[in-house]
Amino acid sequence: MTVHDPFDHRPDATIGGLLRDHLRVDDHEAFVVRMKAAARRGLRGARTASVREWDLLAGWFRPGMAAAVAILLGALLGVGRGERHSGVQFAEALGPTEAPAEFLAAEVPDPQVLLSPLLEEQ
Amino acid sequence: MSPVSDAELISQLVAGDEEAFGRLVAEHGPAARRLARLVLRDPNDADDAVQDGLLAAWRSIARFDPRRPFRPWLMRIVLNAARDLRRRRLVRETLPLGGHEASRDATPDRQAGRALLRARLTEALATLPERARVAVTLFDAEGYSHGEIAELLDVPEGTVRSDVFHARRNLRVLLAPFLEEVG
Repeated sequence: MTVHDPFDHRPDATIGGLLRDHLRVDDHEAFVVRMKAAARRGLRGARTASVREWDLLAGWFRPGMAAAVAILLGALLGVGRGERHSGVQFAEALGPTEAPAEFLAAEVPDPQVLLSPLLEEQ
Repeated sequence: MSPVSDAELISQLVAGDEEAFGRLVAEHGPAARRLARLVLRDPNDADDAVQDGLLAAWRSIARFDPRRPFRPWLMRIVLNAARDLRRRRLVRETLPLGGHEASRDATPDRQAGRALLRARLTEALATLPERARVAVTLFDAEGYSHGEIAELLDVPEGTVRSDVFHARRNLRVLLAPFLEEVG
């Protein structure tokens, strides 16, 4: 009997041979035929599924398009009206788009500077 | 059917070539079936799992990253399909592995010896955890590298080396009387 070190990094030919023989598959050509048939069935199923998907999409298309057009018209009218009547207020309500310089400064600002608007009001 | 490279096969599969699927099965099917048998321990269940796995691989071939090795990717899908089927059929009693017919030219003594070896090997494999069973078979019988097995089983390469070592040691102990004959 050949002495084999289980730490050997090469395949163990004896164990490998036994396992190969043990797990041997004899009827592989028949299996290939079976798999091809399954694949064809799968493809036919996929085609049928895609036809069904198109039916569903077509069914959705008309009411979906009508709803989308209605929403788009509503949105356009709303925006048009908003621009005519409240364009300036809207921009003012948003306020400045950048953070105040004091917030971004690396050093702590003088409290006098921060409180100056309040002191001026008084 | 002439052998084709994995890259060629993959591009044909991506293009939806049905014949390419046949080549995939012819090329990788036997290894896939052996792998599934290791997990399921029933040849019929194993073939069902391989069918599920290879069809799933075909459907998702476009998602395969060609920079990675193809064989571990494919076998991992088969392994997952086998594990999934095992989960679904957990309670079912299994038939012994390697139920192929004994050759007609073998003498009755020889046939009995082979049957005994098959039974002992089935028992010995059953004592191993699934990961070790898969690792030792892929390494010693299928010629996979430790790295490929690590990729397939999603474990570090060191774990694969350790699994192969322990599995071999256990198999050698359990099969000692037969190994003396085999040599």
